[in-house]
Amino acid sequence: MLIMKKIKIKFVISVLLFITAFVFGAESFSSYGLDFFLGISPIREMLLFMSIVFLYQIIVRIRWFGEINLMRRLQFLGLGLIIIWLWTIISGSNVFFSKVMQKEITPILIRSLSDLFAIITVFCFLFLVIAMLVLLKELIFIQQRKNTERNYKILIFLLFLVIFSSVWMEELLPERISSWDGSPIDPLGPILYTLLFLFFFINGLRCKWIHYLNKSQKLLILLVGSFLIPVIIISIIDITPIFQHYGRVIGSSVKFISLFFGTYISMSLIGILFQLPSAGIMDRRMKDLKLLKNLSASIGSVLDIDELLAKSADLTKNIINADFILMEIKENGQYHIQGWHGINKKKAEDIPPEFFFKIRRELEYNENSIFINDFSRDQRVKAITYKGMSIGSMLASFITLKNEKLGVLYAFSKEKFAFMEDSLGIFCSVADQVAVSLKNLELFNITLEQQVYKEELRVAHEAQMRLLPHKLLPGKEIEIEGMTSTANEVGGDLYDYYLVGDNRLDIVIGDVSGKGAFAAFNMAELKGVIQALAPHLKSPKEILSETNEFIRRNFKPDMFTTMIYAIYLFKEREFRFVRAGHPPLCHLKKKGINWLEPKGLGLGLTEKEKFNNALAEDKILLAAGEAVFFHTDGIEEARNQQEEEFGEELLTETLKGIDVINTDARRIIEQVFNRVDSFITGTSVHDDMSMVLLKIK
Amino acid sequence: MSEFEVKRKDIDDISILYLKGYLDAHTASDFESALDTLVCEERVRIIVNLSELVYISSAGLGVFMGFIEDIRKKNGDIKMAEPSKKVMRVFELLGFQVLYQIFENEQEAVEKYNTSKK
Repeated sequence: MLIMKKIKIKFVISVLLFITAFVFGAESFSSYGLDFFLGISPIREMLLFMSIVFLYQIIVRIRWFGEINLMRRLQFLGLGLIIIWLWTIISGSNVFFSKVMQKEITPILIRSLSDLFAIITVFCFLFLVIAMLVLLKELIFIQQRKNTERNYKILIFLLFLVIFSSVWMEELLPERISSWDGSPIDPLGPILYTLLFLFFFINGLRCKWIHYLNKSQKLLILLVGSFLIPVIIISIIDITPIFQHYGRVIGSSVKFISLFFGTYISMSLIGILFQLPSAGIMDRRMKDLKLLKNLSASIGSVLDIDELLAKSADLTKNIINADFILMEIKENGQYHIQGWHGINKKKAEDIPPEFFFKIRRELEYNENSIFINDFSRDQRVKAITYKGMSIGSMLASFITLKNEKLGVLYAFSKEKFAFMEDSLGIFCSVADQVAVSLKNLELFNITLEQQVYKEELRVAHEAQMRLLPHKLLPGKEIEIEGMTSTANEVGGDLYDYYLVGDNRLDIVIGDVSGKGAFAAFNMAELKGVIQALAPHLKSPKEILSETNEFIRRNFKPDMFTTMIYAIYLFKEREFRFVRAGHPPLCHLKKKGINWLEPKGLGLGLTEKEKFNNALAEDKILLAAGEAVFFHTDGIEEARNQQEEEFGEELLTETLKGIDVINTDARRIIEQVFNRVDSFITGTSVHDDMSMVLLKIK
Repeated sequence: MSEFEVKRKDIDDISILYLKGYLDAHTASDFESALDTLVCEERVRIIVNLSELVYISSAGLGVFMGFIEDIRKKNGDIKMAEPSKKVMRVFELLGFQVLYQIFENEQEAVEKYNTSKK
């Protein structure tokens, strides 16, 4: 907003300066005998010069067109030039304007309204000319390089220098350049002149905007430009004398800016002329790239293989201008036709596989792509025939991604020489695109499967968590706590404890062989079985015996389970237990610990009789303040970074170090867990780990 | 963690498999194929020498369980020989000694087969 204000102020100043200039005439100086200034008014020229400088500054600042729209700019430029041209024509004829324009008002002051009107008209004309210059500047700055700005600034500097100098250097005015009237020729003039034209030329080279035009646009500009430019330039030169009378500054401004136009536009036209032969190819390249971009956009996100192939074939046909397209996809080492366009499915399937096999062989000899202009004559495919279709030319390429062959893309045309010389390049790019999309599709499907699998695991994990026992009612004379830490989302450990009647607490801890989902399901099943059995049976041994039978019947022989089942009777303080192949339990007493390891055998390994013989049930009494610790072998097997096992010794040591009387069940478990956890710090691998702690209060 | 090797030696109709390294879920399949080969060749008088076995997991134990019933049906057996202290402890806890004959040296196991040849 501040800038707008500045611009407005400058504009007003510029206008005022301009008008004020005409207050001064040459007469005021002639009395000083300054012949040099005869015919002009220095003050006027100075004021005019300043006005024009301000005007230029304003016009340069204004952003005429928001974003680059090349054609609009060129159109405005053309329009501006036409207006200028019309103006010059009108000025040359006998119309009101011309009278005004030709009116000799130097060295006279503004005497009437028509004079003022004339001055304002000239001002507007100057405005337009400078606006055209600024437009030209924008064209020059398209794709600007590091010297562009510098060269342009020098040009403007020289331009204004020349305009300024023209006040007293008459040689600078073209119509005088050839007149030798004896007056001394100032060498500065020609030097300045040469420099100026040098920079006209340098800036004239900056016509990168030509590249953005398509062929027809180039032709149009060439035509219009070639006609318009000479006409305009000549017209301007014609009416320059009129401007001269208003002030040399104005005259030379118009003159030199127009000369710059002429130079720049002529050089641009020559540039276009040179580029015309290749214009067609450029256009086609642009079109190809656009189609290729569309291809990647539209097939990149297709998730159905058939749709992907159909779309690819369709787009390929458009890009290459083939009669029909075929696509083979490689599956399990075999190639099958899976995509087609421009031909119906039946016909595509009728083509014998040997046809494609031979072409594929040729492809391998030819670095994976091949371009045949005349199918009947080309040596490479002479031996390959198929009567069912007439083939004139062919493009074929393996669809490869990182040296992996995913398939083959074929484009056929009935005519010979149907494809352009450079079509193979774009055809291979299409094949590459298809390769990427096929791979993406494959990866997407794999990811999808993994996602589904992960989700299933998550559901299983939640289900398993729900199977773990919740807190027992407080108030009983015991505390019981458990925890489990699984290797994967789900594991094969189980523990459970529940009240059976008023006087009995059952505790079970077990370890199903195997990891992951399978073990977890087995575990869940077992849990259900045990919970169903328990209320009906009195002894741990009976319960596990039945469990053994269940596993024998329902699990595979290589899946076995270890388990401890214990029953605690509150009133009697009697603790009975069996150990089916499971790591021993630990009796934590006031002073010291005692590992309990009755003889036993894993579940599911042998039949009933042998199992019952191998399993010994034991019984102890528990006193207040004592605890029993159950665990699974994940604890002993936990490894640290040096690959050492936690082992039985460390576990014994840990348990010995617990002040069992004064620590509650939760805390005891935590202590053991922390000990193991710090042991395995730095590693991530571990087995399932579970612990249960029964504390007698 | 997956260094494991199985070597085989045949003495008459007895085959001895020497297990070396770690027998866990990753390496169990190697042991499995070795046993499978023996069963296919009808060589069911098997001794497994565990002197160089460092570690055995439930997956490894599962391999034995997977074959034993079939082998015993064919009048064969799998006898264990020379387990390390650690491996023996695993067997003890699980109660393997109830299911398999475990010998302190290989020769005893061979003798056992020879005496029961009748």
